[in-house]
Amino acid sequence: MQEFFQQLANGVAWGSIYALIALGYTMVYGTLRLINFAHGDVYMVGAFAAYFLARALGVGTVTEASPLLAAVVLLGSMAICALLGILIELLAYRPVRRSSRLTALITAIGVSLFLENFGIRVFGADPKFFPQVIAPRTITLAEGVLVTNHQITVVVVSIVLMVALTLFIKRTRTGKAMRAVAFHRDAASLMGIPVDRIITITFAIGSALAAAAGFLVGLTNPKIEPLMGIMPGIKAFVAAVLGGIGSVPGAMIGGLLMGISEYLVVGYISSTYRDAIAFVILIAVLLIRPAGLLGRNVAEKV
Amino acid sequence: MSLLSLADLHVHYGAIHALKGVSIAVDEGTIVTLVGANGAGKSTTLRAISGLIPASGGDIRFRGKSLLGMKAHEIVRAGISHVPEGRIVFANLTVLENLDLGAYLRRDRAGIAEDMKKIFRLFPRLEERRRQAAGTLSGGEQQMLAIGRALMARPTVLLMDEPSLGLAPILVREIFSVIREIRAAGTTIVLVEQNARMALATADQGYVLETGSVRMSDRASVLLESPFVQAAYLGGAG
Repeated sequence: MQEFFQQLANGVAWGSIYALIALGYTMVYGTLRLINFAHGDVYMVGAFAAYFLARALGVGTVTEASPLLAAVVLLGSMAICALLGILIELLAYRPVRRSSRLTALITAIGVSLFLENFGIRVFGADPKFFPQVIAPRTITLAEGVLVTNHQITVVVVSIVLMVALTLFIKRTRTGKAMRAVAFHRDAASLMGIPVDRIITITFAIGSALAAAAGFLVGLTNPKIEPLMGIMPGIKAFVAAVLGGIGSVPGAMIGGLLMGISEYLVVGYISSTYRDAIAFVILIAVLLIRPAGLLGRNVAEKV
Repeated sequence: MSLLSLADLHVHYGAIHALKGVSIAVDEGTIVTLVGANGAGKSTTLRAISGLIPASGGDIRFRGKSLLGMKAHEIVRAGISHVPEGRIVFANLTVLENLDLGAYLRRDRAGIAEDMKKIFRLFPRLEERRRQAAGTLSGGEQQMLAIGRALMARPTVLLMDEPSLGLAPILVREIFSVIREIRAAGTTIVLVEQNARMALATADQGYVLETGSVRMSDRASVLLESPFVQAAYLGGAG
């Protein structure tokens, strides 16, 4: 039972990261019906942005690790990736908005390859060690169940961001406009909603959440490299599909389930199959419930 | 000069020439109706006015200014609201949220609250269901919500696309009486209808569209008596 709870704790921490990335997939899909395959790479850029910010602030050399510093690094990398998301939308996706979905999909793959190779060229292909912006500590949750303060930070930051996002979408004028655009773009524009601007905001928010995930991964797994976004990107996409793509709470639940199942596989089967579970889940969802757990089970409008 | 005028308007959907030089004049405070068969270009005309599809020729002028090249949300800001074909209420949002979105461009909270009350007076059913998701409303209620939502923008001109489509006769009469009330309150209306008899009986001016062109236009009461219109559009309807 200890083993189970230990893996559950690990799984929740990883799952929170998947959930943050999955939110970006699901929000962009909701508004544009586009699978933004570059999203995992935005997460990678987020990790690097945090890395360079932490280095610039002298973490580990001239300044002491502190939660305040961590917050500065987190918000900074979120802001940088929000800008990156806006640029990607403006330069890559907007020009093909009226083209076929296949064109948009190929564009997304192109952006993904561009970011990966940009990372290799600019950041270097060798892994970098993420500075310790918060001094590590181990906490005993229960007998034999150990977590680090980093894992707790991951879960707490993720919860705060998800609650903030949910309130934003439910309560604010822009949030309501986002839901309207996701439902029907033309009808939203007839309300006077500037659809292009709302789409840009959606990209900015999704990318900022991916950056937060990148920072949190740097905290718990301090080895970052330019191709680190590929696998988590795919898994978070599966998480979004599992939750029901387009559904915000679905992405959160899907991410958590993905993280937990991964660690249960590690604990009870073999870490060799850790990555395989994502594809098993994807196949199972597509066979059993293609709309996902919270997805609207309706035929798509054309 | 007319409040809203279309001059020799052309629209293409790819290779299809959907509007072939449509000219329409809408005077302030009137109801103008466009009648005609499916595919005549009625909805296309409304969609071109509200900027959902680009015109490929001609001009659309509102208060003397051309609307061409303006985005749909800018046209709403200019004072033209559109109740789209098929209603398209935001099904996953509540009735109140739908109405709020109708007032998206407005900041005057007091005025918004006042207009919301007016809309609930016009459609008491909506008030009863204000916290319900719009997707759970009946077809007639969704139509009321679509109209109410458009009115929340306080438009100068209201474009209405087939408001009676698919509704029971009693609801059709109710919707038409609301249309007259909206006009009485000072809003100019452009009404697209397949129910030509009701539309012409309600409107001041009428245009008969056929395959992307204006076939006839006259005072609505004159069209209602015209043998051609009676034979082609009112035949058998009673």
